[in-house]
Amino acid sequence: MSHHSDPSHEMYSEELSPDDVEALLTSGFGAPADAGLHQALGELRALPDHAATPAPSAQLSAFLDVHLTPSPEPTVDLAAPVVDLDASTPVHNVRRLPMIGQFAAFLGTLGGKICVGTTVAAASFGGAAATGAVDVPFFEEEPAQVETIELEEPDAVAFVDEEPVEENEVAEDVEPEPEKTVVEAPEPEADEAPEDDVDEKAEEPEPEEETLEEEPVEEVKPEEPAPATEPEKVEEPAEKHEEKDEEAEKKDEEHKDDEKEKDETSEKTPEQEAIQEQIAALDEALHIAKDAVRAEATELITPLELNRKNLVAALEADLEEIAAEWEPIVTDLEAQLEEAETDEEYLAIQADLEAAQDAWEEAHIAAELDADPAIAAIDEELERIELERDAELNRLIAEFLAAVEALEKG
Amino acid sequence: MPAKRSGDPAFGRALESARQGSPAGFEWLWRRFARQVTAFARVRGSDDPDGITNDVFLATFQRIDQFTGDEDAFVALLFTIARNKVIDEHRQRGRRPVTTALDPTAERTGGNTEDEALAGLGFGTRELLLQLTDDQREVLILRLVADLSLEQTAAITGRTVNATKALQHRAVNALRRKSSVEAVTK
Repeated sequence: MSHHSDPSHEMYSEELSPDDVEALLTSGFGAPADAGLHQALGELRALPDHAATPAPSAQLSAFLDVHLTPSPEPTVDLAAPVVDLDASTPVHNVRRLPMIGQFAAFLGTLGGKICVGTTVAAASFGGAAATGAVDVPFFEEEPAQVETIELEEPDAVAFVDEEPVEENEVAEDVEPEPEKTVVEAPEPEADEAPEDDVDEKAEEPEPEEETLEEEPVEEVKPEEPAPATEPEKVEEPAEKHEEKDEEAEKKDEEHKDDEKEKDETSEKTPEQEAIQEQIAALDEALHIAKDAVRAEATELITPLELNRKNLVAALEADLEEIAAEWEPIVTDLEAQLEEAETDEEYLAIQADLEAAQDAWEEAHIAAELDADPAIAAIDEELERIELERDAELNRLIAEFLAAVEALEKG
Repeated sequence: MPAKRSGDPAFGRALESARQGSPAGFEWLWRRFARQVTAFARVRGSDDPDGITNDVFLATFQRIDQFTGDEDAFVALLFTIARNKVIDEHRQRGRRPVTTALDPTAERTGGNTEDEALAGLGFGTRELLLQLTDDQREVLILRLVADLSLEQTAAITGRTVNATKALQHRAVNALRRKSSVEAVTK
């Protein structure tokens, strides 16, 4: 065996055991002397931090907030001043922006004090709506239009009938709980649902209401004022026959629900409506807060991206200038090389050609090295801003979801 | 080191919210895990890591009402889909990752598309990883980039826990030896 001649075997003749390796991978600790190993594992662990959150596709955006789609990249402006981006370049911290702090505090307050949630939300949105900055669905003025605009997704057609899209558009402000509220609180829905559903699902809600009318649900009949769209559907009995299977299932479920929940739900409906209003208000606050986070991040990102583009453009211009300087020389020497008549002449030209090529390459590399630190600094800064932005957005969403959960649990 | 996942109440809320179709729930899940999936796809040599990430989440979100499990199970699901999509992509371009036997003496110099994908790493680390077998690299990537447990990694790669443990054992010790050789050489 020649292990003694191999320094690595002398240093690490005792390999880590499988359990040591598992501990190292799980906790990051173990074999403290192996700096190279720790560096390799640490770099692998850090890879997700260096990966920007990709832009969601059109299909995926149907599930997400439409505002997730990143804003278009800034156009290259070569005339714009290139900011010196060394380590001393001041960069604002996204998390400390006062506006965001206010919204975060707002959400946190609501999450902790559910009792005053409605008041706070109403006050906030009253102010926002009064200034025209926000349209709040529960304000009297055109409540449903804002939601329709927000959800226009041209490429999301395939997902229109998916649950997330439905609820995104309708559920929160129109039909928070279709199974129950159709029976017990038909008045607001009868007014709003047909208008909102015209785009995509005009036929679905109506058969349910027809069913309710035809069925001997004694308490429902007198309460339903029969909206304008219903008589048109009543004139088409064929559709009803085709939908009998579905209707029968719904009837059974509704009858069961009716019997069990008549007393309870008639009392809870106002509470549920209040909760839904609070959730809607929270949702609106979340949107405002997220927009603020994105806007503030964009304010930081946009000039950085612009500077980066300018630096890259400047580098490309330098490289073109270098090429313009050396390319004719090299081309000329290459032509001379082909025309060389003697070996001595050939060797001399070849030496000149190699020298010229080396000089060109050196100039090229020098230009790249000169520009690289500034570009790398921008990339690092962009990475940091995006990480903080995403973390802040997820923190807001988490607080929103926690507040919603608290509200729903009462 | 990535934040540990177990017991995060925000995940439970986001998952439940997503099940009910709330965009907020979907967005939280997307922001929480998209980077890891992208990094995994990239370091595994995908030509389009962003596209794969989108496909993974789209497939997951479309069936999220059928999902039952905790955060670890959710992450395992994401990376199972991601791994399969990367393999499909390799197949489609005729450069499927080389599968090597669990031979402790087997070592293969890297040279597939991961060579380029590892460019985001430091030169020394990249050189070290490229000297591992593809299976060894995959296990390390799932453990460290995706932050999966040994059991999850075994399930995703279709190996037994013991085989996976042996694989990562050989990988880490190989890295250790090679890094020490480099240090001595320098």
